[in-house]
Amino acid sequence: MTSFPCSLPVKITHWNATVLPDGRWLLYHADKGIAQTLTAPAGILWELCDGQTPIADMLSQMAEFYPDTADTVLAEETAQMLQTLLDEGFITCDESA
Amino acid sequence: MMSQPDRLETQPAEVQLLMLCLHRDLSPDQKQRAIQLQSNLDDERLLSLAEMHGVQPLLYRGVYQLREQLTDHTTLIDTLAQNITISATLYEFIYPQQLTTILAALNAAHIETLIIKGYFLGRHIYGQAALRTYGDFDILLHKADVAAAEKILVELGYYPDEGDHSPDWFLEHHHHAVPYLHESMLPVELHWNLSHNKHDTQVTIDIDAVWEQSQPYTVNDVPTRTLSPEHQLIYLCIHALNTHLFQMGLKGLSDIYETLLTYDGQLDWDVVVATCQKWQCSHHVYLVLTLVQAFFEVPLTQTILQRFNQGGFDPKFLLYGVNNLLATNTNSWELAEVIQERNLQHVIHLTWRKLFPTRQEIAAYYALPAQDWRIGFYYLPWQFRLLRQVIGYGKQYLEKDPAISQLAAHETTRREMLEWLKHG
Repeated sequence: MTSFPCSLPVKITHWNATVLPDGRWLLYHADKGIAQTLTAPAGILWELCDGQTPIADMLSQMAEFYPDTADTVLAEETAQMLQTLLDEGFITCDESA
Repeated sequence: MMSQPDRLETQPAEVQLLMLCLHRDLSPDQKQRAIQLQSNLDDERLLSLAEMHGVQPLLYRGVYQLREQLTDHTTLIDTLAQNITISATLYEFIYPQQLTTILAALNAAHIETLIIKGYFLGRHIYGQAALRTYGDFDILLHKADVAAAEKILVELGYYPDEGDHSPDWFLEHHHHAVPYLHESMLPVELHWNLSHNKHDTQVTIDIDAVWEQSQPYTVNDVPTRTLSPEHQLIYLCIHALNTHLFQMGLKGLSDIYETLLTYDGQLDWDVVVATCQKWQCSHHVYLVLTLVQAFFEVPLTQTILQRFNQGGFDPKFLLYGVNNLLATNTNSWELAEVIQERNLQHVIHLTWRKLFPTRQEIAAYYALPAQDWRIGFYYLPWQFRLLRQVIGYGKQYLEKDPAISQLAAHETTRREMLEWLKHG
């Protein structure tokens, strides 16, 4: 998990979230008027990005949510999800955001 | 002509599955029942039915629990999944923001507000705003504040909908002001009471007590108020009957079911009973709760339920409720109401009302926009349609068609039920 550009990613606060009956997360950006769904794992990971939780701790918490997933698979998928969340503008490494 | 179901099992598969899906958590037996229903299920009809009743999000909540059972209906599940994304965007984010804007503006003018139905039911009773659809904001105000609140709505870009009746008519005959419309926000109804006796019942709501027992609430941190749990339950029962005679559909039934579950252990039934006696709505509550209990397992004992029954209940009132709840077309019943009426003045009034319905009714029937200038031209086709209907019924009457007897019996039950409601 060393390739991610920061150790304390944080949610971009303009996004508001809700969880749908099927576990997907729905994020809504009021200023831009756009909505986007995330898978349940991605939504949980986004929620964990509070600017104070190191990625290693996030991984531990994800392991509690998905105990049946092998550690290496979980680490790889979490890394991919974090990168996607960053690329799509849901999280940032800028602590001032 | 409509059927007269007396058991859920006689209903089409779509109705049965929809009723199953209204349950919060499906039991193994209910899941098994869903498997039995799936071979007879028409997905389009199910979606349309759920849409008509305003419960498509609840259908998805149920169907998602049945995803392993409904193996032949993956397209249905996918469609519902797409639709919930859209409705969640509206009911979780966009509409609450609109409501926040309205409440903040009223607060700034020192107007105290109490939100009823809609957003509160979704957020607090159903546990998720996306599960409870609504088409307007219902806000209770002190009557003295209504005029000022209307001015504030106008400042926000709202305008009164005078297509149905004039603002003065609403002030005189209704429990809320003329509805206010907006180009890009949901309509608003400013209430000064929770109900009026549309069907000549005698419910007398103590609105001062409603305010006294109301509870603080916030919408996106903007202060407002909401009904106490006891008043919430009573209000929903009165609304189902007094305003709609059960024609509000399954959404209204679901509201009461969810309210009973959410407030389980919190409701003071002594307060509910005493309030109903004071407001003269015990029979309203008895009938509605009996109906809810017929469809759902709810935390409601017979001992409590019977405290609302002051005698004279006829089980056919329940059947009337079921019929109205599940009906897709009530036009024939309204005509039967005229045929059966004995009071000449009332016959004239009803006939005039049928021949000259509101512009809103014409617009809804012919699928026209609410303010369409062509609405006036549709009155003549409407009247010809009624004339054809009357001739048709006359013919059926002469041929002694049993469906006419069913219509007449339905209307007789309605009158007897309304009479019984007055005595509770």
